[in-house]
Amino acid sequence: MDARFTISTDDQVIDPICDFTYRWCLNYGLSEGEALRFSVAISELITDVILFAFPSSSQESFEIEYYHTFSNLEVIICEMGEPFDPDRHSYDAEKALTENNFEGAGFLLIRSFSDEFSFINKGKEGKEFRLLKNIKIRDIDELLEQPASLREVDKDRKDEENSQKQLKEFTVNRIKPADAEDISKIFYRTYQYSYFKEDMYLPKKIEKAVLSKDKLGVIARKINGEAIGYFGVMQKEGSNIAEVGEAVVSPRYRRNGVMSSMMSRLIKILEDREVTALFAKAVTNHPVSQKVNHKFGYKTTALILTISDKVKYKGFDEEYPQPVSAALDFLPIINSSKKPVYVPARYKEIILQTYDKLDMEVEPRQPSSSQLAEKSDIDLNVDYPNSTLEIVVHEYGSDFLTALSDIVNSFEQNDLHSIYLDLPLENKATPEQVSKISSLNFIYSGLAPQFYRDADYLRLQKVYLNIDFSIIEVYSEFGKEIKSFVENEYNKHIQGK
Amino acid sequence: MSTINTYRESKALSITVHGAFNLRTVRMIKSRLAPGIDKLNINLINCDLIDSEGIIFLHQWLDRNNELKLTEPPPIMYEILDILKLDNAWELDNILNN
Repeated sequence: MDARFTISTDDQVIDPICDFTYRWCLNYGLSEGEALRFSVAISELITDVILFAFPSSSQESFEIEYYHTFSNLEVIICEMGEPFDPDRHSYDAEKALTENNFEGAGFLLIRSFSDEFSFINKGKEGKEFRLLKNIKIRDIDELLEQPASLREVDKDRKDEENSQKQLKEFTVNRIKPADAEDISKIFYRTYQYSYFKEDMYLPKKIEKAVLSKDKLGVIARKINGEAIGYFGVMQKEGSNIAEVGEAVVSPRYRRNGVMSSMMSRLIKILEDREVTALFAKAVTNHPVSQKVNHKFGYKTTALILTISDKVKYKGFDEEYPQPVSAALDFLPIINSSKKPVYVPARYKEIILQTYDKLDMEVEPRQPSSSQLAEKSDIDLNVDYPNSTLEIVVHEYGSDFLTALSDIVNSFEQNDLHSIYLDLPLENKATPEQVSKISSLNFIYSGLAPQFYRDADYLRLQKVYLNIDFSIIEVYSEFGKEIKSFVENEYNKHIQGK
Repeated sequence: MSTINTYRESKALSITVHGAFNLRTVRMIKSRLAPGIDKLNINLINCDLIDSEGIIFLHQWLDRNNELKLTEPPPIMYEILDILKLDNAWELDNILNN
């Protein structure tokens, strides 16, 4: 998150918030025109909250949060005012001209001046509005300011792959900000510009991440200093585990043990930082990443359907006819102590098998009774480029079913591919709540160990696309069992077979 | 922060907007609209942002057969008029000061 403001429902706040929004947009790469348009969208939304959510008070407050990624900017406004639904307020130009009725004009401008606009009714938790603006990425060469000669590297890339070099010696060291440019070059030489994380082509972005300690990683170099491999992880926000971000070895230096050396060094660094586990979302359009993960002891714990939208990987399958699914591969680094879990009967066998594979000790319990919280505690993470939504439930309130249904309904209008629902396995209410939400047609995805607040979560998923499971390649035997379980649930609950 | 300067001359109110033309600006202008005023001269040289509240206020002013003159409105005003399909209803040749 870049910024969060609690602002009053006084019209004096509109200007400073729009000023901030404009400068924030410019700072993250929007043109002046687009920054202004997005600021107008924010102005419209704040005005509607002031006028319609809190029509009779200027002493209330609401929240506005700013997030950015490489490719988009997102503003989330949360308020607890009077219910109103933007979809019920459509603008009608005829009514505006003949009756002076401008209802819905603000929402029309919001939709016109942003790339995505979502309204989420969260029941007792209030309402949430999300506005997204895509950043048009300029020619990546221009951003990189790389010499054209570097492009020549690509011409011989395939030849390079075929001319493997034997390495007698190489070094593996923790990355420093000064390594950023070399890391970008490794990605360029390996993937050209086809790697799905554009940040990896931007040395300044990498440098910034290293300086902010968001990114941990190691770089492998030949004795002459040439960079030949990189392995990076990101510590997961709100948990003590880390996600494998990127792992790459220059094609001509593969099969020299570079990846193994980098992994060993990285695990040592993570142990020192008391990171308890590593996880990776390994694509399933080919088995290579999963194979590498399992070589290092990872276990597949979940199959996440349609996680990435039609990614093309150079050197692998060029055409893949559906969004790519991922195997969630998990590697405990520090053993966790035995804990009680409340597993829904429908998933008991496969979840306990998964724990067993991970050598994680748990005590399955049957809740005698469960007490609900005063209100549900739910986080939402929208991945707009990949059309997926992650719903994370930390606490169940008495309004849980209604709140979840409202969230699902709100997002269903956005042409989603999938919704992922993470439920806390250490919460006594989980088995009962899973039964209650059966009408929403969520199916199994798997186990997400230590995912949030160091607790284990059951991941369910709801898929809106037709999935061809025959082209989802899962490497490990247990991963195949998970895939088969997911496929059965998909056929039964989604396809109705 | 948006502010306005106003100057009344007979039935005309001259307004200079500094900052955005939004809900707050509209409320400030309305508070200075004394009975009898039927012409607004609005200087928007120092205004970069106008939203639907500003546009609706101006449209309703015109709709009541009042006179309106705008000086250098921000370009986004034309986009908003187009989106709200009000562009044909505004006689921009008469409204805009050269």
